[in-house]
Amino acid sequence: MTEMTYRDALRKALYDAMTEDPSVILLGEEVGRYGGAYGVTKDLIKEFGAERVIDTPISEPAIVGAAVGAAMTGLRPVAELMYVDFIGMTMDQLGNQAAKIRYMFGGQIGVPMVLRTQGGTGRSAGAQHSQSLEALVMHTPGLRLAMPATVEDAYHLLRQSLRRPDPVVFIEHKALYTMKADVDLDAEPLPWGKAAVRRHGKDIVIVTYSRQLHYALKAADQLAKRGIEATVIDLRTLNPLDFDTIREHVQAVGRCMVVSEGVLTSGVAAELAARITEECFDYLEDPVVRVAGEDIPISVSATLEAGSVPNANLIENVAGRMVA
Amino acid sequence: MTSPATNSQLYDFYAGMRRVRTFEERVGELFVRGHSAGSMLHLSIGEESAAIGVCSAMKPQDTFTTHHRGHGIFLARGAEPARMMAEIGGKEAGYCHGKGGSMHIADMSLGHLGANAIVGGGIPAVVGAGLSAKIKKTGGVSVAFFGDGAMQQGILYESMNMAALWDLPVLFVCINNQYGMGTRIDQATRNTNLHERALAFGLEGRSVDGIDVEVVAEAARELMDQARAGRPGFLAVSCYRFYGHARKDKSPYRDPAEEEAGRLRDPVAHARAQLVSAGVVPEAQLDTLDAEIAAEMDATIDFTVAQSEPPLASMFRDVYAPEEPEPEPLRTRLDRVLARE
Amino acid sequence: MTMLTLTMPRLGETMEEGIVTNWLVAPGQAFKRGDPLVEIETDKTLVEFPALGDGTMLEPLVTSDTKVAVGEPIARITPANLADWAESSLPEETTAEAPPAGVVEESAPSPVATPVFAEADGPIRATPVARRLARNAGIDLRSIPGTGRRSRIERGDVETAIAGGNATRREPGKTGEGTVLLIHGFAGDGRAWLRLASLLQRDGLAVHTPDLPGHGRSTVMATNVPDLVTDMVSFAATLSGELHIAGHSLGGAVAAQLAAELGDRVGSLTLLAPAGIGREIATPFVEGMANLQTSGELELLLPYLGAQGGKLSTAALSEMASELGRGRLKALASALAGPLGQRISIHRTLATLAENIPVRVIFGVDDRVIPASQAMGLPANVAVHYIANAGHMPQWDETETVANLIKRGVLHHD
Repeated sequence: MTEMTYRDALRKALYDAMTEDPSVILLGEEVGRYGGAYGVTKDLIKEFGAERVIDTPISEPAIVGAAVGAAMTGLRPVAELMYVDFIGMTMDQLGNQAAKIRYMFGGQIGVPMVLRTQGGTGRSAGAQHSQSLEALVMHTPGLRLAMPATVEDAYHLLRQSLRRPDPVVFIEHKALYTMKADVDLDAEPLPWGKAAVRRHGKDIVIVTYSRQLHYALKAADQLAKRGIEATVIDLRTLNPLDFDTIREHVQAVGRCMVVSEGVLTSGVAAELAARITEECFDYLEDPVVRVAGEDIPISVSATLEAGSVPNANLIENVAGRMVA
Repeated sequence: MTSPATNSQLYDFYAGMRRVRTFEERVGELFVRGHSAGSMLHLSIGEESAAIGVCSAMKPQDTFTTHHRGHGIFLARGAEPARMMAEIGGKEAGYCHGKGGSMHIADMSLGHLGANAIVGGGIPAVVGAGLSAKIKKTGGVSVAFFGDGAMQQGILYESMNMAALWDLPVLFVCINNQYGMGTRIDQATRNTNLHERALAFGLEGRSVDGIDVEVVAEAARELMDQARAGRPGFLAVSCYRFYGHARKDKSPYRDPAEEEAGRLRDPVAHARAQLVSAGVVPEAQLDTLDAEIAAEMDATIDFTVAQSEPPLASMFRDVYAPEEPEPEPLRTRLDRVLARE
Repeated sequence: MTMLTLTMPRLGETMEEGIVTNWLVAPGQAFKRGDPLVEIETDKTLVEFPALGDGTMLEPLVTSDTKVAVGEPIARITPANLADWAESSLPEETTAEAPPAGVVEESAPSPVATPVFAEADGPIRATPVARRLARNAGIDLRSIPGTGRRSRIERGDVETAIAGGNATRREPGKTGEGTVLLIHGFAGDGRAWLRLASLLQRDGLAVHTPDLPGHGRSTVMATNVPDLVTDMVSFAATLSGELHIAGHSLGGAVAAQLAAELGDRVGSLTLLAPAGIGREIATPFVEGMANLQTSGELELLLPYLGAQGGKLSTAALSEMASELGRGRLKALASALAGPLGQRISIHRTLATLAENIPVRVIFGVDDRVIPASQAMGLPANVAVHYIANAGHMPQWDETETVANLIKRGVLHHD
């Protein structure tokens, strides 16, 4: 077992992938000399040179578009968007190009690229640097979407993303980079596209991903002290979505809450709640409840920022009231 | 040969730049004292001549947008430092009630159409504001302030093209502090003669050295006059970012020798030396001025520390217009869903 | 000290007004959370409104039989903890304050839902899983009372209904709180425990309500009390862990003997109006039930059970009469009582049991089948509780009181 941070695990995944496969390149703002805005690509330029670790101008659409072209012509690019908030600037390249090329051209070619980025609240970074925009990606057929919550998954999901035949948007959480864990990266990882059941309980199922997993697990600990046992499912990838695992547990338990940091309306939790209601209807004791971000922008004030997104207390409170 | 009138202007420029410099130093102090909202504080130390010089050519009817490093520009346009500092502290008393923070301070009544955290995000708005000034015949010019990083954003070129095509009263001001975050300008573009790009679109284009605030002011006055007459322009002000990209960045990617040399290119010290060497303003008077400014800026910290956080319920305010209903809080919705009776 | 004005609660989606029929707490009297404060009649039901927290009654603001609109004041109280009452009062001196960041206020505990039947022609409020279970079991949802959110029929409610036979309801939520086995009385069946079982389950207990041989859906016959005990011993073998046993009337005698058989597995014993502790019993009732042919006869016998007995619907009467009309109980009736009264005794059994586990006996003061005074002859180590305004079915007349007493046994609060 080795102790490492989420950031270390991501860096190791890039390092190992680049060592194994010379076609893997990194490109993005500050990925080289600076080492990444959050330090994920630190010193990789020293290991692999400026030809494979490419500092780009601040030109987000061209970064993503260049990755698309590189992927179509035999490279394995990892493009980086410093903040997921900038994804809107790249949505043409991502949504109209990367996502549709295989389909539009009748399956002749794929776009095996990874777009690494990070999102979420927790650093008082304000309205344009704190969003959770995974729903935009999930709403675009053709894009895969991975959102690691743990140190192991930071490594394995990134490695697996780099072996996928189609474009993968890989969204990290800015509040997790310094999270540490003892990990054995040689152990067999869960397969790509499989959700992890992080805790088993018979009273309520909490479906979540990314940082909210940790709030859900903390809430589950608190609930256990009150005699309420929660199953906590970490989706790991939102596309592909492991609905079989969700169905199995929701049908066995009969109560389900979906937790997401993104805004409530038309968000990931909304899609999951709808699907659970459709497919598990006859097993439900309660409506599927969404616990998600408020339908508002994020403030720079730490108070307002924290109040805008779910936390362990809210999850515990809602789960307690559902089971009561 | 320096005329008394010129000396008086330089004194004012010096005072303005000193206020910006001292304010930015206090922003750093606010962070160290744990009262800033977050650490994404981008200081404009070393760039004061761009703010003071360009803004000296602006009139009350003019509008402007700024980037993430815009404290100095806003101060130069008449912002209250205490309300700015309170906003940087995420306090209710700040210009945006703690919702915007350092990267989004604005006061529409001063013509400030907003500070932006998206590189290049505020540039196209001046095209619209220029269109507005032209149609409404306000006589105003709209000025976009941005950094050299934004020179590689496509939106700048779409905007410059429209401004030229429609003969808009618009000025694009690139504050070239040599670095987009950790990337030096020559690592981001092959042609560093930035104004040449504007010429290609049919704009007036100039590049000036920001060491001398009067040179910046003169160039700005000429370009603003032309813009006001419907000939949009572009001005690149060359300067040096004294510190890292944001408060926590120690800029290890820069050569210490380069930094040392860069910090000698100090427009505030340059103006002070000019004033003293001209012999019109005694050095003691400048010391007094500096002390008064220091006291003014110290007070912004005391003010900010004493202010309260915005109330939690205020987070639902201003998502939509005040006459519209606020978004329903999640907890209200959950209470309804989970009600037992 | 904070004063609080209680308002007329909304006890159903459509309720706009209610009648305060009876104050259950006098001015100056202290009450505990869960104690009934007032009886309220709506167009649909008569319910007791429980205290949401500890406190003291200052003064009722309306007299009995007064009609009050929802939300209008009905009483002033002094609460021990204001927060408990957030949902049903007009606080006199609080302002709405947003919680600090990251902190979510726990909402006031909801009053225990009173089971509510769906209206004959109105919509049925039932959870999807309850609908599926009822559909599969061929049960009409209108015959099941809902105990869930907004009186929804939940899975547990349907399972309880299905468990009229020896089926047992799946424990609904929390674990580790205990398992309760409820044994019904002569001529009854597991459904007699419906409301009580719901309350206990809501508190996290696993509850089992089997039908005794010769009763309800049981296909086993019994001619004497040992037959009943043997059957319950084998039923108990299907359950795991510590058992808390409660029995009513004849079921009380069965429960005591079952507890003696099971020994260490039993955590507590609660007997409601038990048979076997004295001779006297209303023989006309026992024989009448064993031999009845029509629902008319049944209707005449039910007042023996107390006030609630007379409130059974025509449909329920007819179903019960047809079940009893099969005559399965004749032999058992003569084993239970003869011309001189009761023929069984559990005196010694109770004395021995009470040395090891909490044993309590509950009587409704107005019991017309077995006189409450018989409890005076019980061994000194058996706790006796008399309940006013209750008859032979205290679990119907004072459900919450009985539930609380059973829970005290489970929690060993003696």
